[in-house]
Amino acid sequence: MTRFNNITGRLPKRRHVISFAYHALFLIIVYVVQALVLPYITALPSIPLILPLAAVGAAMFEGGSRGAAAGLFAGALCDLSMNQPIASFTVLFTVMCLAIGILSDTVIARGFAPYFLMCVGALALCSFVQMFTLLFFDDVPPRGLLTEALRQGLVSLPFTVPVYFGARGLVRRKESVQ
Amino acid sequence: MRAFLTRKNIAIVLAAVLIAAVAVVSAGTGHGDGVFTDVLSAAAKPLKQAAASVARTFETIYGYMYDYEKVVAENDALKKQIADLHQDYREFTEASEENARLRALLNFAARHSERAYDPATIISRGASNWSSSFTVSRGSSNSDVEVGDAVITETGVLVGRITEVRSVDSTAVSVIDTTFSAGSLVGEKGADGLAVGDFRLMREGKLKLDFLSDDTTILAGDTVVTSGKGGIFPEGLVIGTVEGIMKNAAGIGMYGVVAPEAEITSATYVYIITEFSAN
Repeated sequence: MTRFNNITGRLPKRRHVISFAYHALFLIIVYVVQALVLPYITALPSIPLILPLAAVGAAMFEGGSRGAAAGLFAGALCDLSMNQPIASFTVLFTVMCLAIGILSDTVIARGFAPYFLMCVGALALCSFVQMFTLLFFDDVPPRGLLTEALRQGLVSLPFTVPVYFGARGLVRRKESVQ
Repeated sequence: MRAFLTRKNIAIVLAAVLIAAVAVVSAGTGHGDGVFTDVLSAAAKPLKQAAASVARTFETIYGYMYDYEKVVAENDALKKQIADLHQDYREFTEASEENARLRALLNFAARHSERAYDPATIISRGASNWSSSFTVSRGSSNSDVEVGDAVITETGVLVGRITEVRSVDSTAVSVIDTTFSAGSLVGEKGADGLAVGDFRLMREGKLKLDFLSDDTTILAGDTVVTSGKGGIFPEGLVIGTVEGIMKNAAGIGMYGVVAPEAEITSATYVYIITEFSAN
């Protein structure tokens, strides 16, 4: 059975669809946790932001264009979970995942340490987008915003472990299917 | 005949007659069924008991074998009946609670007959640490809800304001969100102020009562209600209670810290004021 196109060396279109479906399903599960579970855990000092972690994972393991597609989907879900119009996170995640995908295709290794660092960067970017209006239009003191950003980052980072291994497991499953 | 009238046979017949005579005599003298019957019954009792026990055992086995399916079916029917009763009980409880809410709303609505209310359910809360929002189950396809409409509880406590209307649901910000603001009256004299969301206080689930005039005196425990000025909110909706009075960052003027009356994180059933007459 021919698994790859012999001329182009690429995966057949059906494989792309299956691969994306796996990541979409994974992102939906993360969305459910993000939107319907974590906001109700009042013991946490802040609500963890885990959709960017899943988007980074998808981009890192899938590469540029498919990573960007996953980023777009994850961004839209993140906007939905925040009860805001589908705009800021959708654009941010798409661009961010495209960049991460290209970097992971070229210079960055697909290990946990680079993933973790990229997650730190992604969370910082997300916090900046979230605080933008408050900082520049509502004159909220920066100190309070930075404290919140730090708190959100700290409660989110432990989730990098399950999300990374979840995303990696999807890629391995996909490879075993192929 | 000679063969019949042997000594042995005659003795047996005589014995039988004798026994019968004794039995008849003893029965006639009030000894129940007679002495022999009693003796025989007593002798047969253990046998009868053993036989009955064996019969019962067989009956049980028979019942177990042949009535098992019937018992299982009956058990299933009873389980279903219990589940139905539980369901009825839940529905009854929900109906009772809804009844209580509607009665409270009726009391509130009776005082404000010019307003139109639309019941709604809070179906999700925003997962953001930077805002306080929720989604209600009413949209343009199933309600007259519009952007800016007030969301209240059945007792007229302000929960938030609609910010986005979609076809099947709408988004609202709560009274503690940083984008929320409402003209307010506070204290016995009804001093003017502006209830606004504050980022720092939002973390504590509170809001700010700002822009108080210099001669305003507010005390902890004072109730803050909407003033109705500006026509954004109807007047008289309870926002919360003053918890403390603080100095502004610039050191000029004071502001009140207000604890909202509505339970922002746990409210489920709300009402949207879709129509009211502005002052």
